[in-house]
Amino acid sequence: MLRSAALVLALALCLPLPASGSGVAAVSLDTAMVRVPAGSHLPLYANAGARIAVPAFEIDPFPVTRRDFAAFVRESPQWRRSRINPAFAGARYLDGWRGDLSFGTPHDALRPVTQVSWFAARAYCAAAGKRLPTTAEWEYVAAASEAETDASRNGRFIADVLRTYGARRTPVAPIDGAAPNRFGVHHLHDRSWEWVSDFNSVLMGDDSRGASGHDRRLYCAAGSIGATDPGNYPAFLRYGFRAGLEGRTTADNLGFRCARSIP
Amino acid sequence: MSILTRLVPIFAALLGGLAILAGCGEAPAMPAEGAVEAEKVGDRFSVYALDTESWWDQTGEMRALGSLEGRVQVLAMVYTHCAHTCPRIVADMLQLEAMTEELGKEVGFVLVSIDPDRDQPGRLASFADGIGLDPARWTLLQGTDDGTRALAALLGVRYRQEADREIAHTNELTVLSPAGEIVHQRKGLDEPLEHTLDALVAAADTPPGSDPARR
Repeated sequence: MLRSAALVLALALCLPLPASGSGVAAVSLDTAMVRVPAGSHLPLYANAGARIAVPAFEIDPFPVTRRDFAAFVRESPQWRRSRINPAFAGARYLDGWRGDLSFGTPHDALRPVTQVSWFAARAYCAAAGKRLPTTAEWEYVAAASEAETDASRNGRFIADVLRTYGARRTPVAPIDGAAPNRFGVHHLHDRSWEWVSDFNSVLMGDDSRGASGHDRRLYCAAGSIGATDPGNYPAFLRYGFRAGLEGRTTADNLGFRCARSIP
Repeated sequence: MSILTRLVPIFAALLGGLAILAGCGEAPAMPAEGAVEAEKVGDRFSVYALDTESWWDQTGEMRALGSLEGRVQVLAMVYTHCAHTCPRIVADMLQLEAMTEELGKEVGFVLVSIDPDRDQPGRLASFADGIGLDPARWTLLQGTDDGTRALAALLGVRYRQEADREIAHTNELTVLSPAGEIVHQRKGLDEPLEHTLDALVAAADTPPGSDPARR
């Protein structure tokens, strides 16, 4: 607890931290998981505004990098590009890698890994004794600005996030030690979209219960009326992005990080 | 489930498109819904590749998904406390069972619970008995939370626990070849059952000449 508090402080102040991996890049990054205190998340579409309680958990402070993922596939050959079962990833899995174990140049080492399917991300986390974060966990952590743990109603923060989404580039920029959010977590918005364990809990149009449709009324922006926070445009973007995903989907702007329950 | 929730997808899909445009210069692998479907049906992979998860059937026996291999299966993800569309899906499957039996096709039927907390093997057994499902053809499975999510991800099924203990879910009816390939998928409840029957008949491994009229 003390350690993680010190870590958060150190990261917040941009103090140099001991490197945990090989020094491919000039930055020193402490990748120890961050403990996130219990809180809650209000889903964008919730029954009567029901908040979801989020128990305390741990999350990776950085997205998983290409170098991290290369170490994983070295140990787990079935997740290499040449051996991946087509059930678990589309044809562009690890697109851009030079070979099964070679992600590119040293400059690419600290880029968040992208072109990974949900199945591959899930397997990576499981191999590390971790799991993917839930949507509620991810959104709860990502609602923090540098200053506040919940900036989801802060118009300035929302505008910043939106601008950040527009400024993303591919290939995704390497991780760096730039200021984390209030929880001590980096790059939730400024690198890529990230997988969550329950991405397929966003329902598309064939939502069934009450499929009779006799009361269906179509009018402009109807979709936003039921939203709990219509002003949070970035949340709509993430929601819409997840709605388009399949377990085998890979994309050059979609990566992940892992989480862990606290026993 | 309000009408608003059902309208969300239109809006969400629109936003998803915007998100992609905003995210990068080059369009990522993010096909439209129809294209995803086309990719999934006919793409050569077996659902039985998902072999790291454990399942329990209505007899309480632990089994791997691959134990379904070897015959055509019609699979749906439902839950037994479901009062709305699940009974309709099961009714459709019973109708398919009668149709395929009449045609002399050997087909299995699988219900996988999306409510593994409540759908214990005993509950699945009494559900099966209540409707009179033939245990020689019907397999009802309870998995882990994580394993159920994974199978849903493989099949393109989406579900979400609601506050009222109901589970909102999509209604895919999936036809698997004996090897576990997705050879047909009915999305929603509106597509005529005959389409699924045609796919079943095409996939069923019937001895040559046994049903020449249909061949």
